[in-house]
Amino acid sequence: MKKILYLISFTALVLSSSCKKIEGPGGTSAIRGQVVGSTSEAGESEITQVICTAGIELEHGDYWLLNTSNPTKLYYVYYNNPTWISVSDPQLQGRIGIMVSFNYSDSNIEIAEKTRQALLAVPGANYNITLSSDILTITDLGQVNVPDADNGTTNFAVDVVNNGKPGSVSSNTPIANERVYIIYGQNTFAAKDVRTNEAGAFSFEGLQKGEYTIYVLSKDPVNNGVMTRESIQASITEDNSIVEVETMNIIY
Amino acid sequence: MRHLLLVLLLALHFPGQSQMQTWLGVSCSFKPIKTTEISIGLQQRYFGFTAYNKSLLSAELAVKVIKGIKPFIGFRMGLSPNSNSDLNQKKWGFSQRYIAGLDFSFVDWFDEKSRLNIGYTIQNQWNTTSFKRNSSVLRNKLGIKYDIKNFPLTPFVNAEHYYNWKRDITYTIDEVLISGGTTAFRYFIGFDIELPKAQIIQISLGKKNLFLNNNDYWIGSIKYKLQIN
Repeated sequence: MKKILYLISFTALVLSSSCKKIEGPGGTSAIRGQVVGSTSEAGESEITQVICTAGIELEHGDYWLLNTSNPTKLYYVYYNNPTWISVSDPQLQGRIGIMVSFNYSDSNIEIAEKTRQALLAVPGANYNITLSSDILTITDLGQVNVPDADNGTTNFAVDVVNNGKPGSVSSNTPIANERVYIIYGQNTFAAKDVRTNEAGAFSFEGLQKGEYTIYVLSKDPVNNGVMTRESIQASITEDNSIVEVETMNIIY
Repeated sequence: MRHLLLVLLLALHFPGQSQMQTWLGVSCSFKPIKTTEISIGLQQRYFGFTAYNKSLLSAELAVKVIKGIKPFIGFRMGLSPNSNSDLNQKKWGFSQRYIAGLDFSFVDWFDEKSRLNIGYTIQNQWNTTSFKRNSSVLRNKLGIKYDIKNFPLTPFVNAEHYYNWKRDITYTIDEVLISGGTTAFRYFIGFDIELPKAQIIQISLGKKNLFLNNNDYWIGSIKYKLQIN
């Protein structure tokens, strides 16, 4: 009888060691968390190119219009030939006049240079100017939508090469329907994934005690098109428990 | 007898193979002392008739404390193909069951030699299975068996109720709620064929109705029992 009881006890002991629970399904605990995201889209400046004509094509009193991101600084650039005695300033209301003196003999490059000098002389102007041959490139310092420049009464070619627009930034926005992955124990690859709800929350349920890695994919802020892993470690130490992990922040 | 066998064999073929399990078992029981019985059994289970499901090795110790009442304890080990081998790189999955219960034979209280046996078994089992939730199940079984005089067959019928103490798990906002509930009913009808030298072949047909899903299945069981007295 004793031998039989020993045998049964031994068998039970040996067999009980074969059913060890490891990280993974089959438990009663859960890991929960939230995914929030940030996005940043840079604003753009209005860039206008003005191709100037030669002085012979200008009339005394001709002007063109330049708008900026500051609504109190709207300009008109008018051309004054000193040999004429009449007033060249068109005196447009609500705008600041910038006078450019010229001669009929000025080449288009000289007209462009004189225009540049006049624009640079404006105090507190919120634009940058570069000149290449007879092409003036005017870059607004603001990043908003700016009304397009106009060639007015001149024959200048005025072209908006880049429309200004404001940047957009959002942060800590709950990310809905984002896929979240779980790795059991020391495994390399994820065994399961769930999606976040409308509040960015996720829950892995029915887990055993043990160590887990939770991760979510995020856009690489430096390398366009590359995804990186935002991961977090979680440890379940008790049955029937809910482990809350830190909020995971991604760039989307 | 031939008619009864024919009916049972036909019944075994009645359910579709997809909802059918075949159990083949052997067991040996002996009494080291008069009031104590030890049983050791091995069972192979198949989906349908040939698709391997699992193997079960069991041991049970029952002690007759008073007339008609037998407390018992048992252990069962299961071996089956591991459906989560990607997680632990093991081909086989294990399960273990520990059992403790009471077996009542009501007729024995009045007449220990009666051919009629009305039995009631209450047992609780604790199951541990790889990659499955541990469970604790209370089973209540009521059965009737009658040993027909001068006839080699002993027909029986029984019904069993399964109550899982951890059937429902609800993950609320901040806690895990666990509650119990009925998980299954199981019924068996069959007979023992009495062979010489305390050998018995038990043939039975059963059905297990699972309470929360539609995976009910039929069971065709053949078991060889050897009793060493």
